[in-house]
Amino acid sequence: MQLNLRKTCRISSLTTGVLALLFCLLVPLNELGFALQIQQVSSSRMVQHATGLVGKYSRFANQRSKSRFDKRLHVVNFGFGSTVNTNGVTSSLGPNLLSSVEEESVEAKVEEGPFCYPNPVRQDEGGEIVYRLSKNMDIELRIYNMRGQLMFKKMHNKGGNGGLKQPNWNKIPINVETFMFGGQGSDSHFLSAGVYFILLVHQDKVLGKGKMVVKP
Amino acid sequence: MIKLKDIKLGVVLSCFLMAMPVLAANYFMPEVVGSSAYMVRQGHVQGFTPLSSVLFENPAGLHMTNRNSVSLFSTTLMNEVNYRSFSASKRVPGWGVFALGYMGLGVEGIPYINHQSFDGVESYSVSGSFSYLSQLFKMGYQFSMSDRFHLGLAGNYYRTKFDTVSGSGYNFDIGVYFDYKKVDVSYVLKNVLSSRDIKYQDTQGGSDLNKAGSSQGRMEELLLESVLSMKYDRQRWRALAQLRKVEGHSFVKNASLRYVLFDELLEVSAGYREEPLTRMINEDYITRQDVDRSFTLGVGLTLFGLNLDYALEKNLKAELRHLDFEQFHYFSLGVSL
Repeated sequence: MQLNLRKTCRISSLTTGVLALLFCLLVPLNELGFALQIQQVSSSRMVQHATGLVGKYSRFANQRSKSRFDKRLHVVNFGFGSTVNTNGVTSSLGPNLLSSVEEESVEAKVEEGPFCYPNPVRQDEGGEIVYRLSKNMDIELRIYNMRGQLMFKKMHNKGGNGGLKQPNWNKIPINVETFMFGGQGSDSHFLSAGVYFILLVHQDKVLGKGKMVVKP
Repeated sequence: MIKLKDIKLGVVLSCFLMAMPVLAANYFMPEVVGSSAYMVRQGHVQGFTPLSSVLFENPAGLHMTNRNSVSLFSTTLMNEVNYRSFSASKRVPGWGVFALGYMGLGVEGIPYINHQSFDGVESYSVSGSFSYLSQLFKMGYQFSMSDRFHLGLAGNYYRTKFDTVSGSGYNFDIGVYFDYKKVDVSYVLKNVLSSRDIKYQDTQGGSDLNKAGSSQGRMEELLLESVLSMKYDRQRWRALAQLRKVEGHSFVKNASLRYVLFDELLEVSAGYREEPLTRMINEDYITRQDVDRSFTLGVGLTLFGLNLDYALEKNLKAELRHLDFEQFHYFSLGVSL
């Protein structure tokens, strides 16, 4: 019985895989790449079969401007899977379709912010610059004064604080240790009261802008 | 019998002496933008603008203005900072030149940020907006000791307002101008009163968690600044050089070259500017004294007492420029009658 079920699973998986391959070949996509995959994972308690297609395809997000297109790369798992316990009881059997958007192809953007909290911020109390990113990425925080002069620059690495994707809010502390409200050099001083302009930069491209006011 | 000229000279010398004791200061001066496109296009070399706007540079330079002079300067920096400047001067025979000036630097739409946390989920949102305004009111007086030696005084009133905060303070400038045929020398001391700071008031009350603490009673110091400039005329060329010292910073240099055309109807100029500032742009969280270096290009037209000036300014270091606004453009208008 157990053997027959396993055989059935394998045949069904192959059929699904072939059908999926034919479907994908007929769909007019800009780029396409699929691979047939047969997988078996066994342990002392269960045996898992998964057969089907693991594929990637992309579409031009912006069809009007081919010169500035953004690709979104989709990862598709389409196939047939089964899980058979060692006692012969099938716990799951059926087709399996998963779709996700690959991290590298997500458009790099600032989802929310940057905000200075609180705003205005007082020099000796400090605060935070907060923002949410669409994906993990290297991000450079720049602060300009009202003359457009660069006052502060700091790179935040991908995946770390400052370079994390949503739903996490990235929080860059503004205080005497980490910001130029004193700094650690011999030339340290309090930042002049006034308006400062926040820029979030990724690969020399401005992704987000904000305004903050420093109060004395 | 003490002459009026001697009294004037005594007042000026007393002011120089009062300026000797010096304190550190860090108020953001709206004047750093420049008094006119004329000044910007000559590398921010101060003291040689033949219009009423010279009041913001060196009040002694007012001797170059005509009987009546009016100057307007307006620009928007980074699409955010609105900068306005206005000045007027009038020559009174036997007395000298009197002048008034105003500078305003404003930013609108600065957001208030609200923070909420519920079940461990945080959110930040914009809950309103406010504006920022920094103003400088100036009143100047210039008189001449002789055809070649001129003195000037200017009183400054600074005012800043944003959110619930307002600050004000006053100080004054004192300048001299030597006119030696082909060589002119200008020297000015700005904010000479060392004990005059910007004092802040804050009407904020209560305990709003989304607000920073009150700034009531806080102070910022006005920087003492000394500027020595020189101009050399040779045929159609004008060469200008300047040494400037802002308190707490090292000397910075400015220079420019001007070329006049069509009997001084048109003038083209190129300049170099250094601006001292403290910044933190390294990975070590250490603030450092630095110098911003930029070049300027410009053109000026003088026609029937009307002065039209255009200037372009660009930072020499690409990595220090604003990514969206690599260069700044300035226009100004002056009328001399």
